[in-house]
Amino acid sequence: MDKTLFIRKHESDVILVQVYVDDIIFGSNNNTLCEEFVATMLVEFEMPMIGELTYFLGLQVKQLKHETYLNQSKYCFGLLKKFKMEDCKEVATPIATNFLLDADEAG
Amino acid sequence: MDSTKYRGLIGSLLYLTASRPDIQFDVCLCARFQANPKESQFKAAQKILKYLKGTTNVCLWYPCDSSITLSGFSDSDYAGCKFDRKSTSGTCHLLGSSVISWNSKKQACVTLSTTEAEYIVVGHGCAQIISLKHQLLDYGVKLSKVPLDCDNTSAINLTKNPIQHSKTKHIEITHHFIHNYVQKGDCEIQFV
Repeated sequence: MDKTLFIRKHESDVILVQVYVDDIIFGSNNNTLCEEFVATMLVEFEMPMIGELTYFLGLQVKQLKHETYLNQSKYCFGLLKKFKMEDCKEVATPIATNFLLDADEAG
Repeated sequence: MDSTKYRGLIGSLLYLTASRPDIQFDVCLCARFQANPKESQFKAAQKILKYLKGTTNVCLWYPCDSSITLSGFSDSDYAGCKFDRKSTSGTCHLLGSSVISWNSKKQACVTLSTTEAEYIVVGHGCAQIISLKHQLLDYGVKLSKVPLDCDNTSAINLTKNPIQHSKTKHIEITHHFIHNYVQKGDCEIQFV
């Protein structure tokens, strides 16, 4: 169904390649497959190889041995700066629980 | 109130919801007032920023030993919007123990009962399950009955047997699409 997802299986090894417009991410359980893929792509197309995935489509990616973390903390810091809220007081909940937000016609 | 600034803030916050399910509802709530924002609403949006200040570094966590099982959760706040008495749907989906999809949306019509509001939201949840199942199929993962949690017994019964009695006969036909998928065994609605 997804026309931009490519999968190649080789015995018990598998390589997954996902294309998004002009960005490509790929992963495999066997490093050799990744290296082969990179070599082929570099020969065929003029493109830089960025290396291990740390940033994709605005998401920061942190890959550890047994887990992966995704967040947008850089964007979030930028957002606080843009609206001059870097030094504001922190609150525990994003919205008041005892107050109802309405159209506030009186303004 | 400078509406350009308000819309700018909402736009930026909406972009952030791509990795932050925790602020999804609040941002969507604030986004409803973009046409004519007032100071009180801007204060509410600023409060989200204050919350973000303390939680900037939270992450979505994807452990590698998590199982490939899909599960869905759904809820609605009946007549949560005091202005037009419409309810808001909320759904989220977990793959193993990691959240992969979340949604919060004000429903398009006023509902007569909590059952109807919940019935609409399990419909949303089911549609998302179908789409996620298709995606997983690309990776060679075939799942059968995916559990979808709902906290309204009448809504669950309605998905199994959409009988036309006085309280339910007005429900629009689009909301009945879930019945087919429940019958086929694509998803299974559970009571929580």
